[in-house]
Amino acid sequence: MENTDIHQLETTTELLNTAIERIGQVILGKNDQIRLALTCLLARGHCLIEDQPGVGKTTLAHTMAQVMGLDFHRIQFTSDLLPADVLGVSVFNRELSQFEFHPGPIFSNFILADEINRATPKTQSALLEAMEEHQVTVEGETRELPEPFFVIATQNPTHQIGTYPLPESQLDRFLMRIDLGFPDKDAERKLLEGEDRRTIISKLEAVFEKDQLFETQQLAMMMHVSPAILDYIQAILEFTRHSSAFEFGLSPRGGLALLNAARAYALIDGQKYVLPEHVQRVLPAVVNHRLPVHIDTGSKQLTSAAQHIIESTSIS
Amino acid sequence: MTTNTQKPNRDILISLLIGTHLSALPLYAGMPLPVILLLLALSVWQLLLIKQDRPNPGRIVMLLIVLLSFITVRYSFGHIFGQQPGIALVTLMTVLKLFETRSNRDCYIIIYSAFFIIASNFFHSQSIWLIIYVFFVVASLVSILIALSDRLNTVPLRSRFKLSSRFIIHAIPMMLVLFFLFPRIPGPLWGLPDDAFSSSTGLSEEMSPGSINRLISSSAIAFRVKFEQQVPSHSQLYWRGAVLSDYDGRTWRRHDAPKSAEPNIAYGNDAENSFRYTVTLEPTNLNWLLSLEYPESNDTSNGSLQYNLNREAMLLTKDKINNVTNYSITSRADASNLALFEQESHKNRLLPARMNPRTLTLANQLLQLSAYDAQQYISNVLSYFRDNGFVYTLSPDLLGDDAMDDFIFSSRRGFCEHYASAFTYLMRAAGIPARVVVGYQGGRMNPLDDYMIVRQSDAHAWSEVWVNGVWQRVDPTAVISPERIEFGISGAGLEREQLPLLLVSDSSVLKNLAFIYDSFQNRWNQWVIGYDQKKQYDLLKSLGLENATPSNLILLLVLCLTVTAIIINWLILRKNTIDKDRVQHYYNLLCLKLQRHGIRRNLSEGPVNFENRIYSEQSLSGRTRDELAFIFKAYRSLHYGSRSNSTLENHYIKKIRKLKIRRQT
Repeated sequence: MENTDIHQLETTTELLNTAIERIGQVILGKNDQIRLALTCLLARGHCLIEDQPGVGKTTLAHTMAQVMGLDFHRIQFTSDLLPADVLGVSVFNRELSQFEFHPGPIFSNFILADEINRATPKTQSALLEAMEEHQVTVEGETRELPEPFFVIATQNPTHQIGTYPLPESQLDRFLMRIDLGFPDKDAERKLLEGEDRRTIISKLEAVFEKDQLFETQQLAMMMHVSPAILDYIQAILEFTRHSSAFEFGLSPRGGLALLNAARAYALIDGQKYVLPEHVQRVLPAVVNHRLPVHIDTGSKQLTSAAQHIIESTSIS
Repeated sequence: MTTNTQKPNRDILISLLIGTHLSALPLYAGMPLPVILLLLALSVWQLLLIKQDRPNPGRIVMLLIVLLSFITVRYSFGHIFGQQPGIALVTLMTVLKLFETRSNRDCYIIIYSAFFIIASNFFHSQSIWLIIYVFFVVASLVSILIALSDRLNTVPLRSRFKLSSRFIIHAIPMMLVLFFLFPRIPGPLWGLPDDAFSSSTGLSEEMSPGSINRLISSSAIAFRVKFEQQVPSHSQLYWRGAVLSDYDGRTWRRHDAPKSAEPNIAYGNDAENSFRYTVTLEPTNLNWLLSLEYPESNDTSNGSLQYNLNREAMLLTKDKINNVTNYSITSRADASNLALFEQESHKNRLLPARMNPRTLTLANQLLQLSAYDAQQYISNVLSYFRDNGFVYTLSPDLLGDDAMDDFIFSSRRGFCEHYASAFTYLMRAAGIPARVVVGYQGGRMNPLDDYMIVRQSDAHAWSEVWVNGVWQRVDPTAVISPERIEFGISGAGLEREQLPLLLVSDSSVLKNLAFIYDSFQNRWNQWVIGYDQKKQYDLLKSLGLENATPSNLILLLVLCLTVTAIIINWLILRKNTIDKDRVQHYYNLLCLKLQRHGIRRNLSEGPVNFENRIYSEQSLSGRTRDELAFIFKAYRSLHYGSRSNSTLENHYIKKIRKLKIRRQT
């Protein structure tokens, strides 16, 4: 990269870290998850958060949107939600004697799809297709979604009553799945002592502007990836496809996701190029939801697919 | 694993079938027709099963087929215990194994059996062509092994074959070490059953009408001779093989004097008439060697090959000649004989009773005509052959019960064995001791390498007659067809279509090609097949190893194998690292250096994590820390960065070379 680019790189990294810090003021003790969520946004992917209710999924999404300067929309998924409720409908306007499109909540930059697995598969797939294509087709007309477009979907643990768990093929469309988990003791104490989260959010200043975020996304995708990193990623893909621990290996889309996530992570990390550590850092979030682990794999219980992959793939 | 219990896929099954047939292909020449037919039938059936994706036949059907295979082998070979039926059975069973392949494990068994079959080809031939073929088949089998391990079929066929060829090339140095240093066992291969080499064509120990002229159509090499100084003239080249003294009216057989009898040879003093030469004999499956008249006994220069000169001046060996064998011999053309024992004289005058009355009468007439002089009688018999329309031919007539009468008075068409037989008969009928000798007559020099080639088509038979106190060689064929003796079989005016193409061809290109090929083959025999215990010891001696006992040899072998293995591994590793990536190569060196100080990189550990772990776990001196920090930073930017920077690279390499790891004191 040229010198000007290096300068740009440094300022971008600085901005990103400021953003992480600001979000961290609201979501306490979850810096890793915030970093990953931001990575996901920069890599132009979408994020799935699967956790208990009340651990701060919505707050995270809200804070992120605020800090990144994006307009935020929340869709609460329920079992009676229809695709039109998400995408929008055409309504006949008597005065103009024509149909008029009323865009649904999906036409915004930052969407929180709350409890996505409560909706019927039909509605789910409407959302997921929009996520994939960055466009929606309503009544024969294709409409572009605004850029940047980022979805954080949350999912309740699937064993709860009245849920339609997302099938594996749909899970593949999320770049990452992030587990939030309970805050640790210190963070919990701070949370209890502090102000109401909503007040803090409303007081937060945006770090990014819309155009700036778009540029940053492009910068992230231009991060240098050496052949050694590509070798490493290929070794990982090869391993998941040959290992008996997994029912099937990572898809090519999974490989691309890993590469892009590592690029974005390297940018946040302030590096000029991708390192194997970046791949390893994003690996759990990128692959754990894509790789169903065989239950009967030897005596050693696998803690997670990612851990197994990292330990079994050598870096050269 | 789920895939391991699945039936192997169609391509693998078909390639296994092909692999098995490829490895057995050279053996088919020696297999009886029923076995080959059964093999083919089973293969076609198997192919149909594979193509139509039908299940394997049931247990009872398989049992019946196995039984059928055993019976076929038993009846087509006549016995079941022996090398050839054994190999036929292994081949059949390998093909049958395909019928019950359920897992990859079964495929491995088939491939290892195929390796066994391909190795068994060396029982029959050790020619360079077979070895090239074996290399090819082994490469194919290894590529099937690669396909078996390649569960997802990611390697295409071409690169599989390339890979397996590379494996074989890596194995070649090992092969050479084993070849040169593996202790050679003197004598034949241990424990091989008698039938192991029965398929060779060549002379036999008996002579009956037709036994030699069946050899004439073969251009196969019988032996090669390298003369040290002078080469005898063509008419002197009587290569004596077996001496046949016993006749039953149809077949001449050996009837040797007791082993204790001294050879009946009186050597002369004339050094002018001695020829020293080295014979490289192709396997004959007989226990005698060929030589010119008369060999000196017990040449000590022949290493492990032991032979005796018997009373009949045959060179008898302890074991049958089953491999290409080298021996050096001095023959003395001036040697004559001592005396004949009474028994010996009697034995060589015996004729079957009440047979061939007309021949006996003829002998009587000719004897009277010669005034009872033996020498005169011989020339009269020869004149009789010459003057009465006898024909030298490859297609003689069939002879009846009184074979001699038929031949001499009605057919008069014969090949050398007929004339040798008839002449000896007439001698014995006159009470003169006479015997038949079979061997080879002639030979052709290879101008390229200055050695003589004697082919099966040079097989010949002649007589030896005891006159004036010596065994006088008389060749009645020389009377019928003098050209045979002067110019060899191709000049004898025989039916050309029955002779080998190589001998009758007028094309000088073909002849030259044949000579080039043969001299190549000769060297192969000399240096590869003829590499025996003696040559091995000579080689080691020339390398300064005087005391080459088998145990020393094995020690040396293990040492050399280890060194070769290390060198090959080093070369492979070097090639994989240094050529591809200097930066990575030196990073690996750094890791090795650190490992010597107890700092070990996990293979899955990236450079950042590794560096941080070193600092947190080890208490290194400040300087070492700084150096390491520089090295790691340089490595990251060189290996993962976008720009190549040769100054930084050189600096990085220098730092790693000089790095000394010191701990905090």
